[in-house]
Amino acid sequence: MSSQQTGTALQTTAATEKITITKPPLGSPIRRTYVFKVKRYDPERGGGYYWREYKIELTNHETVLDGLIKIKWHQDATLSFRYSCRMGICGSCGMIINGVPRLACETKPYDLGTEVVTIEPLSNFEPIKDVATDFSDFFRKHRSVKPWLIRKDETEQFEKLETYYPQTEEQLNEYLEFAYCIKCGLCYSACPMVFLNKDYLGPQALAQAYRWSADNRDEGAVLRLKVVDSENGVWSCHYSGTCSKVCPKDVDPALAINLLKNWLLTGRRRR
Amino acid sequence: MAQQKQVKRVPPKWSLWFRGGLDEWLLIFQKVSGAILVIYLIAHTLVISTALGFGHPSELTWNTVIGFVEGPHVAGPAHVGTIIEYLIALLAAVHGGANGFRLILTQYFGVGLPRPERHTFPRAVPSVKKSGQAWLKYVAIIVVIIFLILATLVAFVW
Repeated sequence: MSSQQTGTALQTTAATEKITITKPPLGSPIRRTYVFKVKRYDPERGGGYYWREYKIELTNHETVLDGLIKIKWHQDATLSFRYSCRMGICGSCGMIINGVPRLACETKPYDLGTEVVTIEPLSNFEPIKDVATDFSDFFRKHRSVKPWLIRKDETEQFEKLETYYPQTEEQLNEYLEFAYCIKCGLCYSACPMVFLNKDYLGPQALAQAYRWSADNRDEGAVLRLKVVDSENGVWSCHYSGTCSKVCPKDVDPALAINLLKNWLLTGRRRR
Repeated sequence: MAQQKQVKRVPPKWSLWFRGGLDEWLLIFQKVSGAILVIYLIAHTLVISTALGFGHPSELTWNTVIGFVEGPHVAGPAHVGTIIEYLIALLAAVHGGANGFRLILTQYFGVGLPRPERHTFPRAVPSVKKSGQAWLKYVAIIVVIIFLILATLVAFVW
């Protein structure tokens, strides 16, 4: 039996400037049987949530989403979940996997290290069916912070603009970190304050409020700060930092919220 | 007519709090200490008012009420009631103060807030886990412990 089959495969690392990339084991895939324990909900069935277990064989290269798709194809066609790109770009397949909000397409059961993989719908969201949840509130809050470029002269912006608004590399770096948000809702799902205050805008919307307000091309910061400077805005954040720890894109919403608080308290943006 | 939802949204997993680290626990203690201080303020006012006979003080009423609240004698000035009151109120006040001061330092003065930068995705370290903020959390905890020790010495030993 080769070392790869026993799970002790040699891992090669390539050091870059700041990060270390661990390459997956080479050679033939390692197959294992997992039990997917899925928390399901069917509005037509009634009676609230119920659990179903599925046995599925997956390799070390396959993700939880691959497993769910296999279950839907071969075992239970009624299982519902949302997905699109399968590569961590669209942010559709957020779910609670082994107790932590994660993207199913970026989570491999092999890496989780457990034989039983529990899958639940995102917390803080109303369920639609099974693992698919309703994002209406989430996107309504996102829209409420006006996440777009606001210019004082709209005629110039929409009709007479002849060139791009200039931006230096340094100015780009002031908000780029927050522009990586894919709206997957994992931070919103992990936030305890969203559960306690249903009207709280949540880490995603607030991070986007900072992202657009910190953009040098934007002139609508005053409008956004008015929205976030409220009981349901930044002041509902009690700084548990969980949002930043679960973000699959390392957006760090907790930093954005603190920068907004600092901006509101001192009257100027921290640079 | 829209169908009424049979199932409500569920709260975030408690397991997240055990994975996260200090921030979540500081938040829990901040909330709990705030609640304790409010309850303590009301209870303390009620007990003292009752002990003072609601404007008609007498030694008998005072001794009866305070004696009941303090409970059995332990040693020196310490009763079971005073020790519990001391521990709960002091822990709540000191933790609330120390952690509140940490939050003011971070959010008003920006201590430990890094500048947004082009991050090293994937596996960038979130600001809450960076050393700039970590030391503040440890200082807050150390301050709480030192205050507790000093207060214990002042109240019961010195």
